[in-house]
Amino acid sequence: MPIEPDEVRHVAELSRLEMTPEEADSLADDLQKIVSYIDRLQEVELGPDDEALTYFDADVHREDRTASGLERADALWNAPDADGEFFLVPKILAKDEE
Amino acid sequence: MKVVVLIGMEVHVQLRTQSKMFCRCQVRFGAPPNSLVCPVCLGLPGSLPVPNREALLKALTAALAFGCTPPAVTKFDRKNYYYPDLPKGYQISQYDQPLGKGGTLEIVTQEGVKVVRLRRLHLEEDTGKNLHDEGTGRSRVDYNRAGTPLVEIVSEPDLASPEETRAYLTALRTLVQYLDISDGNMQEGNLRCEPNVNLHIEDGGKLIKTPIIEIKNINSVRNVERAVRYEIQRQIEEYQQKGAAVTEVERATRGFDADKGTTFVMRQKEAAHDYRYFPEPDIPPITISAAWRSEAQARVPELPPARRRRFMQEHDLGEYDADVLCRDHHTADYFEAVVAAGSAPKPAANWILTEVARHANERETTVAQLGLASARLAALIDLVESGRIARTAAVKKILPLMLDSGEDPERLMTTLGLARLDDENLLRAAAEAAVKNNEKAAADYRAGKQKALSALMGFVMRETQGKANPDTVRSILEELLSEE
Ligand SMILES: [Zn+2]
Repeated sequence: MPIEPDEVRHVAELSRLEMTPEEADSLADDLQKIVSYIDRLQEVELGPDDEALTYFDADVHREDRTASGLERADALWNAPDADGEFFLVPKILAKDEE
Repeated sequence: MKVVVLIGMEVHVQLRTQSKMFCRCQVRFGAPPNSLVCPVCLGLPGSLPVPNREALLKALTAALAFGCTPPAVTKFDRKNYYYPDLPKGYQISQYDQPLGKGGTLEIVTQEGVKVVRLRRLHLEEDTGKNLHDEGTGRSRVDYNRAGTPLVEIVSEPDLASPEETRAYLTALRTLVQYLDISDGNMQEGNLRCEPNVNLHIEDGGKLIKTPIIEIKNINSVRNVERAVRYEIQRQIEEYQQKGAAVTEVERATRGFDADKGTTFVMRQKEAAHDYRYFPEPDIPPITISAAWRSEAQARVPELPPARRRRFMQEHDLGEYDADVLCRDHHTADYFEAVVAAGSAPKPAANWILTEVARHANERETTVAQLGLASARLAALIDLVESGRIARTAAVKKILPLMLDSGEDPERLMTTLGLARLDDENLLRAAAEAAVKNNEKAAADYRAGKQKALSALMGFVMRETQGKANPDTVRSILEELLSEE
């Protein structure tokens, strides 16, 4: 599956990443190499019994019980900006508050 | 020009659980900002989500109650988009193996009953909340709500009017309250709806489909009806102005302005619907075992449509009264308790939907929470039905006092001297006075004018402050006037 610079620019936009056309070209090259490498997995022969192994039997879930989480100061500690109560972010207008 | 209105609904219902969908933080409305958070719901590196069994069961219960088909295996997917209320950069949702596909919801309007088809029902996590500060150029974010379990229910575009849209939302809210999976409170945001509205216009042999408009910011049942009504009219006017050019846009989002009763354009994220869904690698797929299905099925009670029909058959109620009683399951329970306490069903329904409901509204509470014991109301209704007290006295004097004091209606009636006068001698004296003071009416009656009796009845009722038992008075008067 070839990765075109257009695809990279589109995904970059979805991810809110800024990049120059040169960066997009070079990233397309790099991503192409990574994807080709992963594609080698397709060559592995799988029998019907190998499918997803125990994945489907895992059924991981938990009881509905609460536990205390982070203290607010700890939750806000690593934020780029905060006011002691809230995380602060640049104003975004693209989607209105629900 | 022929216009066909197509409305579909997307409804989000917050499930009532102790803990969040994928972590053990408490779910609570109104807690101090960012006090109910942990590494999982903040999306910190290295944290792992673990699904809440109770949320899965509640969602499965809803799927079964709507008649959806649950899959043998369900799974979660990542819905990727960037917005500050979404700390991970993706929302854990369900894409191609939702908890329910298909299903229906029955709605009641003036026109009757309609079955609305559902497309799907899936489980996902709620986002945090952004608060926009005017002026500062910044937004504040509170992640307490992030990770709250949500069920999203998507209908087919089967709704054809603002009234039907409102009825759909009412029916859906009633159902989740019957299932006891959510408070279904729109003001607190645990029930949120987004109608999709478009028109198929047949004009001059051509079919024009207007853009599908999704309406956001609707916070009450009444406003969904207002928003849809405005939007239909707006789309018709837009077509009349632009003609076929309206089809240039395929879909758009508009917000509802409750003050003006209008919808307005909302700025769009570019490529908004490119969410790049992929399976959530941190959560293995979950088998919906037969045991789970039966556990969920056991939680499905008698549902509103079935209960409504039972009320109509067992208690001989009309469809409208039965529907209104069943809209709130506590009211329906209360009605059944009053009937079980010995009241005839029709007067019980009538009292609950009029007099009792009026007091509940005045006190901004519900019929069931008014504190009026069902046995007491049944006793009051019985006093009226058996003719021992006038209905007006029961409504205006006794009922308000019962609500304030919780007193027995019969005792109140005796204490206040409101019991109907049935004393033969006393009523006979009053009737004789009536005949003596209304010679013309008495003569008219004797001459065959049946109507003249009402003047005489009125005299006795006035003399007794309305307490005389009209049946007794009538028979005494008839007896007096037939003499001679
Ligand atoms: Zn958490």
